[in-house]
Amino acid sequence: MVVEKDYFVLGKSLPRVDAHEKVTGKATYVDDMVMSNMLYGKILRSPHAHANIISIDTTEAKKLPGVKAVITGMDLPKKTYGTDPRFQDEYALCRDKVRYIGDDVAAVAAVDEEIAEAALKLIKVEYEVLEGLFDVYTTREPGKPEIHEGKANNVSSEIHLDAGDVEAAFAKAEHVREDTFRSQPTFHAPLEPHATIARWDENNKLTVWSNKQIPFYIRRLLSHTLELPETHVRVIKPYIGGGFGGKGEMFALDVCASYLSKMTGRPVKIVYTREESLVCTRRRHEMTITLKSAMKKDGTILGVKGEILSETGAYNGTGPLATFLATIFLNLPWKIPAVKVDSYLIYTNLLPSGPQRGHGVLQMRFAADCHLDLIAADLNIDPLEIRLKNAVHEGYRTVNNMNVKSCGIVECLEQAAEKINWKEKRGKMPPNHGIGISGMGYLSGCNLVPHTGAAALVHVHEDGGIKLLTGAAEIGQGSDTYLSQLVAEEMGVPIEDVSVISGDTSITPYDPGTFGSRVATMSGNAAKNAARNAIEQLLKVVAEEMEVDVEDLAARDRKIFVKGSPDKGMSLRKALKTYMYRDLPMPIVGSGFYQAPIQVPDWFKAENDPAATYSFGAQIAVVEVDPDTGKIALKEMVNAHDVGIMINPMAVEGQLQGSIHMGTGHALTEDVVIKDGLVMNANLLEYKIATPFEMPLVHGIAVESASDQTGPVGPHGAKECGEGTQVSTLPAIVNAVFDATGIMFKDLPITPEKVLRALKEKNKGGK
Amino acid sequence: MTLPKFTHLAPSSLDEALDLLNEKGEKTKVIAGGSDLMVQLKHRTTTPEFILDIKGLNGLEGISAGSDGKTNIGALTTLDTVSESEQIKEQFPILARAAFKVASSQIRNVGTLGGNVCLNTRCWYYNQTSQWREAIPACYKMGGDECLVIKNSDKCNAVFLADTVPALIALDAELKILKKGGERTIPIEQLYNGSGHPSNLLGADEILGEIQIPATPKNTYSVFIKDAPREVVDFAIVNMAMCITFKGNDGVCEKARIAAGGVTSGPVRSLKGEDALKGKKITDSLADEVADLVVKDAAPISPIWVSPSQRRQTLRTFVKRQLMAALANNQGN
Repeated sequence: MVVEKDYFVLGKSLPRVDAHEKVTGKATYVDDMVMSNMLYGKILRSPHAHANIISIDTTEAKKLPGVKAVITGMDLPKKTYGTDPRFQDEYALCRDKVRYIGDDVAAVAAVDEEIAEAALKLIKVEYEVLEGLFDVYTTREPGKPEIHEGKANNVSSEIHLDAGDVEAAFAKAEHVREDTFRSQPTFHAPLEPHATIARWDENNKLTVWSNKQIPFYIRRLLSHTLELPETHVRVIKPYIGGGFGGKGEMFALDVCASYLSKMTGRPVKIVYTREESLVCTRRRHEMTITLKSAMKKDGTILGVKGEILSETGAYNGTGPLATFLATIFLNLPWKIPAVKVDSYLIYTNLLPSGPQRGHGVLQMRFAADCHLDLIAADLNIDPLEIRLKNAVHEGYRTVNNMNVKSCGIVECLEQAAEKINWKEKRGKMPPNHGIGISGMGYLSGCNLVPHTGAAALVHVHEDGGIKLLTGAAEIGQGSDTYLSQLVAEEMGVPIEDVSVISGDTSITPYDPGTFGSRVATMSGNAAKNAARNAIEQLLKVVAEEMEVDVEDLAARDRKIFVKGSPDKGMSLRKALKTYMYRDLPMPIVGSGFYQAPIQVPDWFKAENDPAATYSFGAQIAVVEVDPDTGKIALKEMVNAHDVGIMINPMAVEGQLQGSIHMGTGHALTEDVVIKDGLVMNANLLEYKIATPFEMPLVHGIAVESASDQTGPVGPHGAKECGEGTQVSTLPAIVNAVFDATGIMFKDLPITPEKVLRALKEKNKGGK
Repeated sequence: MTLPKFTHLAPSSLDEALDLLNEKGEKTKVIAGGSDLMVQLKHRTTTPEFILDIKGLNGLEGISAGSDGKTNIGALTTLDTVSESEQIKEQFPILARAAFKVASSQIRNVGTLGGNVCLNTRCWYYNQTSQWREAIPACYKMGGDECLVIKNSDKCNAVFLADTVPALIALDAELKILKKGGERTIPIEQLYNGSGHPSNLLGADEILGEIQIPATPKNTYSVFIKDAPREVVDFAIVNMAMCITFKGNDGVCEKARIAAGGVTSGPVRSLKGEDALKGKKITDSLADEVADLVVKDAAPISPIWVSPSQRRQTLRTFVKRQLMAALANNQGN
């Protein structure tokens, strides 16, 4: 199928629909909201990494003037929560045990923040301190305490991928290599900390304003934990100051604000401090990944064996999913005819892990693509060549049944290499300079569990204005804008005619939210389908009026006309007037839905497609290493990404640049530094997010792979470009440092200290 | 985060400020820009009864000519003013550079040179919120009887991180310190005794009034250099300033001043390194020798943020490279 390229609104670099509100500071975030009679909540946290709660005495706190309510875990319904019902192991407030420093113990509502803080100091908690377990090795040793009762060796869950004949692959291997890599935990650190206002009204209905990527999940989880019918819970997502996955789960503040509001009959606001927002929510999963590859001497991959130790921290969170994604994405974008991977999700007494941009896939691709460069070096093959040799293609089915419906990996590799002049540079860099390449495949429209389809409504107003109601959560990634573009294109109106309401569970139709790179694909299709449904209601009337076939009509430029004859038709307003004067049913509402036409995958075997389709990408990094200080200067990067088609090139460019920014920090400076269970850098001074001065020169390349035989999956063939764009950043940088120094840094981040130590070791070895 | 309760004292003159300090000094913290103190207050690492606000007091701000060709900089002069001043850039470029390398432009707009000279030492157990510190015992700096960084140490090992101080030491600066009924002028390095706590020797009844810098001798190569994880915002892993005065253009050093920060609990002036240079022609091997001596004098021991060996290696590299640069500059290359 050839994709229609003559677009009216699509493919244009339109400014974001929320840009003016945000840059002028007028956008209202949760912390900006004040309600009459509102109380302020604070949460008491555990100072111990692992302890039994013997008793909690709130008497003195309750007596403090200005304090309106104090709750502990025993006051709340005994309900665990977690995004996936199969793995729920967390209480909003701990009942009998705390499992990490910062775990939620009690909550207070008071007339102001100072009083709430003072009240926390009056709560007396008696603990019986247990041994804290802080890494994936000691926590599994025999005789260690169980962090969660019944979870032997503190292993939460296991995944075993076994597809193809791995033993046979190794039997005929001409070269075998094994390496172990560790990707460190990193913080999401969005500008806006977590915040919630809850109002439990006199009709026993709960309204929650919360900065979440997943309003509909929060509705379900609040309904579940507070034993309230789902229809009595309304979750409103205001403007959000960034999420990156860190606002993709429910946290104590949501439940506590709601329950405190129920008790007091007043709205309750809880805003996490920066420290709480970092330490008492989620971080990226630390993963230790061992890969052993069976190779032919010409660089063909025959088979791979692997083990993943995935650290979930004190609670499951999205750990099983992260581990599943890490496991299954060994299989893209390089062909592997046989795989066997054993993956373990492991509890520790550290802050829980959660989804972060590239969720699990990123950790695996770091390991797999750096491993591949070591193999290429062993076999004396150019890293670009070994990738081109093994790259998957359209129509390819992986050994564990992942189906590649469209694929731009080769174009990404080739265009990135051409942009940076790979052939002239690789192997010819001056001393201490290096160049490295990497590639990836990523979920585009995740389809992980049932009931994750998206719905949208498009309401055509009497004056020709269009309103899109979508449950998709705009968290700064630009979905309000590109969904509006999709609707405008379908309706044949400029984007300024479309207004969008998103992420309000009582107004907008169901949509799971922003995660798994699903919004462009799933919510995009739903919005497009809804707009199609709406315009068709009008086209039908126009066709009758003009006595032409509906199929022959097009909508464009606020007009409906016969395709190819713009003069033969009428304005959208005239069409609406015609519709209304015929007394046809009002209002005109188009309804749209999209569900990926595939079965959900088996997480525990890591097989079948986890997504409607896949995006692909390649990145190249150029670095310079100072051998005397160990400092790495990241000079230049290319980020080439198969986006299907570009709905909004400016938004694509933003994601390509932003991904390099986050990936730069992950590769070189960011680390959640933990000592004896304590996070030592729980603030934005000591947590080293790259500043603009650390950014390399970035060349973004969008590869449009949408003209596939099976027809577009995403709207007009669009794929994700918000997460996969960061997946290849780490291995590109690490491989470039390998090229510069001859040392593969397998433990991130690559700090100057590690560089100096490794260079010292290497020089010692050389003498 | 909220502030603790305190009484805000806003004297209308310097004399009144000194009177108040004389009276309540032990219970008072002086605030100027507040970029360091405000955070400490929110963290409850300090909970003074009084905050004495000296912002806007006459006679403590601005750059002026002093006696004996000295340049005087009022303690309340902002870091931004120091870094942007054409006069400072011309006469003391390393001070302008050091001031520019402090934190971010937002901080430099409010932070003062005096505040940077009096900057509290830092440690990753100390610079935390009160909620965070509930998980640990009180250290020396919080009134306890142990150091959490170096077990069994008999002193606080928090790190001294003010960027402008090594530059001021290299420039041979003096400090005019005021109190009720008197004032004293001391070489800047005498403000510190190398202990993490207290981080300087300013009396509770004293205010830093002025920084006085003598004219830099002719034929002097000076440099300030800072290593930090990121180009902006961060405190130093190591910072280093040097002034190398040459006799002629044959690379023979007449006089040297070398100082470093970020390495230990106080700023370090390397007398051994300076002595080794005096009267000698700078060569590659002498530069190596001096670099080793500076590292020895600096004696980084604290494992906060990075290892002592990382600090040693970085400081050594800075000294070596800058001595070679000084030589090249002197020889007109």
